[in-house]
Amino acid sequence: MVGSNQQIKRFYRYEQKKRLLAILLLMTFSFVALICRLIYIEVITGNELSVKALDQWWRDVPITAKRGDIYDRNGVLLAGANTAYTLYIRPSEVKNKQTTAQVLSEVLDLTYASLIKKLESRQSEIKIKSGMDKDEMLKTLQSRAEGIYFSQTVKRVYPYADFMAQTLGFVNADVHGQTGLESKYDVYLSGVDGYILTETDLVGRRIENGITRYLDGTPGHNAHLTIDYNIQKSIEDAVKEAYITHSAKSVSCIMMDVETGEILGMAQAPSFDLNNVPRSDPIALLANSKCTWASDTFEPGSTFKILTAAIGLDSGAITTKSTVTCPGYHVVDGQKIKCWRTRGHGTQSFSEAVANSCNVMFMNIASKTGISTLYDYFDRLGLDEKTGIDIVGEASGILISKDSVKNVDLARIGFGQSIAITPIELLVASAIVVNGGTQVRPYILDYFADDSGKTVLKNYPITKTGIISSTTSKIMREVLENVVVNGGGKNAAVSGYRIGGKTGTAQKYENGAIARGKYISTFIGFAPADAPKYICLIVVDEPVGAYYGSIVAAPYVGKIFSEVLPHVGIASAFESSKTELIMPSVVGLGIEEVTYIFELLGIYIEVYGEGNTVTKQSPIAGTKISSNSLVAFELDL
Amino acid sequence: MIYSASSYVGSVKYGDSLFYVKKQGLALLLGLVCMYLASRMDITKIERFGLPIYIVGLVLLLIIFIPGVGSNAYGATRWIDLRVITFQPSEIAKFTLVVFLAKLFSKKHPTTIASMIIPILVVACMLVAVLLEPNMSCAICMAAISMIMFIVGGIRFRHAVAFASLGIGGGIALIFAEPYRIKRLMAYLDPWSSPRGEGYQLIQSYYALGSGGLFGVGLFASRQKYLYLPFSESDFIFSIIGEELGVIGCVVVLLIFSVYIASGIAIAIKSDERFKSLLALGIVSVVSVQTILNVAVVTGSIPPTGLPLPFISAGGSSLIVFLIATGVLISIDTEKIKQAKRNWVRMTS
Repeated sequence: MVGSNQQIKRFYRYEQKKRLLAILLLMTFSFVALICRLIYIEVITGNELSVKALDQWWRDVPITAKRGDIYDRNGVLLAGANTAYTLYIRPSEVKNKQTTAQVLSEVLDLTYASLIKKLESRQSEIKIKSGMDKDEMLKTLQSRAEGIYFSQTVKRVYPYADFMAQTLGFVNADVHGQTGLESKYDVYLSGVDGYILTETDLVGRRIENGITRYLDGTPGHNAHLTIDYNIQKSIEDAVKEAYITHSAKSVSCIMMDVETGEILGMAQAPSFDLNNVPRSDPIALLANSKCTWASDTFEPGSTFKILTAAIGLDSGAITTKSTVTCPGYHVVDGQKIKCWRTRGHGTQSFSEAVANSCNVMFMNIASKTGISTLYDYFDRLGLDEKTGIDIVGEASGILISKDSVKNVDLARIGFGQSIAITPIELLVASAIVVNGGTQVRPYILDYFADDSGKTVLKNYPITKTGIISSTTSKIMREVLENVVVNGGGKNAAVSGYRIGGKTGTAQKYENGAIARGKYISTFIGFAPADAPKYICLIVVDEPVGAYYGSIVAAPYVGKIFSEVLPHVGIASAFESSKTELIMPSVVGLGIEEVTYIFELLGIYIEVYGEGNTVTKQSPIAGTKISSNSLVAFELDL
Repeated sequence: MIYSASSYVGSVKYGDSLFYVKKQGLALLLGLVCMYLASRMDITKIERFGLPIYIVGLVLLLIIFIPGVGSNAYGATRWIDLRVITFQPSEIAKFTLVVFLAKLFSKKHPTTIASMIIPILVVACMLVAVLLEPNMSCAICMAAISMIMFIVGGIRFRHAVAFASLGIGGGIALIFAEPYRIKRLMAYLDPWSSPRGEGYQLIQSYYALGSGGLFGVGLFASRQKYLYLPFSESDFIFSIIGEELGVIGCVVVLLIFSVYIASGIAIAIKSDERFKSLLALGIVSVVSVQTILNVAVVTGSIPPTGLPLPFISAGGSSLIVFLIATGVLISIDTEKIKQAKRNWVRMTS
């Protein structure tokens, strides 16, 4: 028994040793496995991990790059940038808090108490003052204050405040463009921010012996626009005047180079100060910061007749010899469509009909041209697509789909109703008509130059010739010049210059119905009329009182041209004799009598409504008018 | 190493970059004295007092629950605050369990169900106490150690399998009993899905290891210790070793542990007394299981759980206890010599 007991014991000892070795083996295996895992993490995925780790070890303070300036075509600064500095303090690095607080309170005009409170906080870094200029920054830097550092920000400055507000646009708190060109070309203007990189611990405290690196940024590029400051100034003044004089909802005006598509000026009222953007009412700001002349469509009304006439001539649907008899309306498919002069224009030649803006003539032209040809021309004139101007939020025209155009629609389209286009589309299409038939792409940015003056981006005119024939264009120039000389565009005439143009008065639609008393008055003018260089469109939205394009819109284009043309070196060719007259009160008089008197004096008159008695007159009695100006009357019926 | 890993935490939390080093240095000094004493100790005394030792361990675990004694941190009551030093009774309990199991198995091989009842109860009591803290990681550690002791103690294979499956099943049940454990499990499966939440620590550990590469960024040059990696001085000290000394440093550390473990097993094999052999095994198991689990956590090989790295992590009680255990191991190794000496003395007297 003893022997077997001994045997069992020996067996167990043997078994135990075996098991001990097995355990050792198991542990060894575990260790080997862990080492493999370590090699995998540290060596194989090491790079990838350490890159991610690097990212969290460095705290970066951005140094905002200097934003590029915006200049007009002659180097007038429209938007500049000032560098502002923000002072931060790292309380942990301030050894003598009293001294630092004392020094800073003297240099920065801050209270000692507030400073010492900040210095004693446990935050890793604390903002002391922002918006400091360079002098203040240098003074602080040279003081005995400890633990200070600066970050650099850029403040946008607009020397002319509300000048071109919608087009230039404004920037947000991070100095990135929010609207207009600032937004459109933000990538070029903003440059590349630099960074101050600091080695920190988890909560951003700088670690002892940590390294601070400065990564320089690249300043933004300077924008040079096609805008001419002087032209812009004239336009701004005219727009503001029109806005105030007619208590309009809004007024916008654009001038473009007819041959290249360069925008020389554009203004919009109401405007706002770009240096002090009214952000308290975001909805109003949003509405007010749009370039409505590119983003909003409208029924152009009579100014559209420029296009209808040109299409009619170019397609051969009519000739200059075509005549029309206007009884004050035209019947299409049993529907009576009125001419604006409900009393009728009588029998007129093509040229006269254009000068009088007779709707019946243009209904005829549209009908004769036919829907297919008309839409084909619309396409070529670019009415169904964006013009490609470098503005954020450009819209494209809205045309009734070709298949659903009824004859009445076609007639209306002829005089600029039942079609909605943007002012810039109207301007470009009109430019094609008068410039010899060349399509242009409007643009505002001429080029971007970098810090050293090297051009980095350049816009060139994009043109396409042969949209309409040069013969048609020539006829249209003559006809439109006649409008200013003898017709509804008289108020746009500039003494000594040849101006062509066309008025427009369109009724506004709201919720699909004509909105009573709401009009959009427009005028398109171009100069010189024989060899156009400049084309200008003004849109007066909802003028109060007089609303005829001839009274509300045309004079401002005339005024702009009278200032711009001498400025650009186009000499006055002739001096016309002008007699100054005082506008009498004719309200209550018979229209026959009034017409007789005014025509004798050579003053062009426009008559709205029916009846025999004048109920309203424009301009009001007592206004100075010249012998070659235009007046308008409203009748009792 | 502790100095490097803890200096920043120490200076930020206590305004003293040497805070942890001082504490650890004190513990090391105390531990070395204890180790020397333990190495001179007569192992048979330990065997004789097996049961009281076990009971002391269990009582220490339980007094934590007496209000005012236990110190609560991170949602668990694991520490006893003695002002100067806080210590985790579970660190001691592990070893007392090992002592008692060694005693039980040396008397009776756990080959039958009947012979296993007492040892199982002994283990179960400890596990329950530890789980109540709650301290899942320590429980896992204890379970693994017990398992090793049962195996070497002579448990039958089929019983071992049954136990293992029971243990794993219980473990899974416990994981699902606590929402934070499930979160941790998810964090383990995909730490990048919650880089700021549950996955944060593991990701930071990866960053540390990944930055270390093959040779490390150099001693004291760790960046992750700047509060990025939580517990960089204790449970995650191995990540900082990996960052500062690279794979090479990690492998060297693991090799040192291997030597320790291999020597321990050798002592267990050489020892002619069953109790001593099992005790040596138990001590080695504690060290190896804890090392393996710690490194596995740090490398994201198993779900994260808080276990210090023996001898290296900051933590006074842990260091002292491990040093005492090492002293016992030395004592077992030198037992024969001591016995010979004693015999010699007897013979000569």
